[in-house]
Amino acid sequence: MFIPLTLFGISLIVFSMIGMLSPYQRLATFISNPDRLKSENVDQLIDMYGLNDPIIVQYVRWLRNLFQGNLGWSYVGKTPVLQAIVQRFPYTLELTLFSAIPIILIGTWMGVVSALHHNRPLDHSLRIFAVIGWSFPDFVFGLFVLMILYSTLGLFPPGNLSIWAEQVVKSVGFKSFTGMVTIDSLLNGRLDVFIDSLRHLFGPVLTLTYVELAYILRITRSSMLEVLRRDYVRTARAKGLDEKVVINKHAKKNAMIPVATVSGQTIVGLLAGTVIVEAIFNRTGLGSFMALAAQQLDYASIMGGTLFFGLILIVGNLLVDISYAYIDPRVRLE
Amino acid sequence: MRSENRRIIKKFFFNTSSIIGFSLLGMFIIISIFAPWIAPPKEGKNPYMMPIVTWSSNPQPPSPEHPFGVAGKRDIFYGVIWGTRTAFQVGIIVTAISTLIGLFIGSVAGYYGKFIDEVLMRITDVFLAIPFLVAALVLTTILGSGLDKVLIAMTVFGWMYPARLIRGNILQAKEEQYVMAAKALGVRNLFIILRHVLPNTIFPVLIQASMRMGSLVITAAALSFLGVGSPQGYSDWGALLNYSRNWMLGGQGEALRYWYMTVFPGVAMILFVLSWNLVGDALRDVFDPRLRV
Repeated sequence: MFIPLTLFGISLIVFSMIGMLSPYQRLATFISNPDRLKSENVDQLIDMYGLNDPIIVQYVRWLRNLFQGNLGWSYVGKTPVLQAIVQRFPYTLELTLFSAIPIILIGTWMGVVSALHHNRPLDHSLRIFAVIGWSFPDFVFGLFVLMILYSTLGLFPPGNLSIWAEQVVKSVGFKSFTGMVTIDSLLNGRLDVFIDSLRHLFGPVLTLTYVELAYILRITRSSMLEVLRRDYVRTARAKGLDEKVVINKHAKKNAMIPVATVSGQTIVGLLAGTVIVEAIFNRTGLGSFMALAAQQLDYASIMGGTLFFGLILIVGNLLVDISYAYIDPRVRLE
Repeated sequence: MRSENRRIIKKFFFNTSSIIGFSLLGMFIIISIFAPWIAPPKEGKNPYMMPIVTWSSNPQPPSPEHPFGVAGKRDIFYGVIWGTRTAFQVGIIVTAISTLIGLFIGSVAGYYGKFIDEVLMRITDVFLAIPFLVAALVLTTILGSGLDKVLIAMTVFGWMYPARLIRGNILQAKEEQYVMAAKALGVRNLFIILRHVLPNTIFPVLIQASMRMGSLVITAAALSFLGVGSPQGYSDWGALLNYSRNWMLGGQGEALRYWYMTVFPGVAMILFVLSWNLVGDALRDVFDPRLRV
């Protein structure tokens, strides 16, 4: 009930933004050959595509097509919009999954270490590390990574795959299972392609990890500090339990509850927030697709992509809420 | 009260990170005020446009004439200095207007509750369900080039965060005894909101605003990095970084020769965002004791 309503709202917002364009501007996205725009039958073309109709009529027409599974033609992707999204989403998902693992693992680990060394030099240096990462715009860090790791050292190239690996993936013998090259290449038994795609993933993953890590680190640290002051931790220590057991069994487990929520939100945020990183590293994901579509005012792609992002955000946040109740039994009781 | 004041002053001025934050911020304020003297613009030209200093599109390394080098035919030093003004404009204007809108929507929703609250919060949810950068990107492209268009786009999709915060705080404050007492005395609703509820919820809003400042400046720079928003040649850190992009992707081993194209505007941005984050942290530590660890 709630999800379709929100999606309907999103489509209204996006369509009213597009309604601000003149019919002529919108016509440009229908025409692949710019010379045709100069010809005299521009008005005819505008009539043909119904671009002079009231915006409501156009909206209803778009909505009717949507229910038939037709999101329109993507000029950026040179395929139908739905197909363009389905093709590109695995790349974004892959980048998200590969980044989420180090972000969550390193972030929580650093947060715990920071809390255990509260107000000592290690704590201070980890906090400085985090606050600088937090202040680093992703495109600045990405440019530094490109400058040093790729251009100078020649180690981790931008793009999705090397040309030879691209050819392997597109060849007939290579079966696509998930659309994610790392997983597909393993399933096809092509270790060389797997390693090549990891090399291409390294730069964007490193960038996202450093920029996004800070938030998890902060939450873990403050949650851990709070838990360490609780009575049950003091009791555990008082009855002579080993410090390791106190930290791992009593403190860490309880401190992880808010961290789990934040981790979920981070993953959802990454899925919808890779626009810049994908653009810098020339990856063909949903983010760079949206950037291109927006720059070229390819509005069928913009509409479809925004709706898809909205769907990801809503469903993702819903899953986070549900898993929260699963992780923390106290929420269920309320 | 007096010891509270002393605690606040002590927290502000005897804490390394807040000292760093405030002095960086002070430095940027001075730079933006004295920009016409530090990097004098040409007579009769719009000072925000970076003047073209060479006709070769190749970047030039730092030299006495161009201390930060030349990128995209333009002087990087000039762009970094005047870009400070752009950054302040974006941060302050977007934060101020979106906070005011959020303040209005959030307090109406939180105070009146029921149906109005339900409707306003569903609208907020819809706006929140579009990724901020994507939404700002689309709207800026549609509105066309110009810094004002960037500001509009970022405000249209930026008011939800303060609105939510205020609504939550007001729901809490509504249950307080002093609000109930005012109601029992027959004080008018508007007066209760302005006089009793808002002053007690305003600090978290200010803290959030200072913390958002950095991320808003990043988003605006990201837009010009992607080539939308501010017009070609406008002093903007993101636009300067955009010039360096192709050179960073360029030939093997060559990119480090062009380090100045990325490092100077990049460091300016990092320090600017860092200063706001540190100031936001300091404000939070002082004014929101619940969050103090």
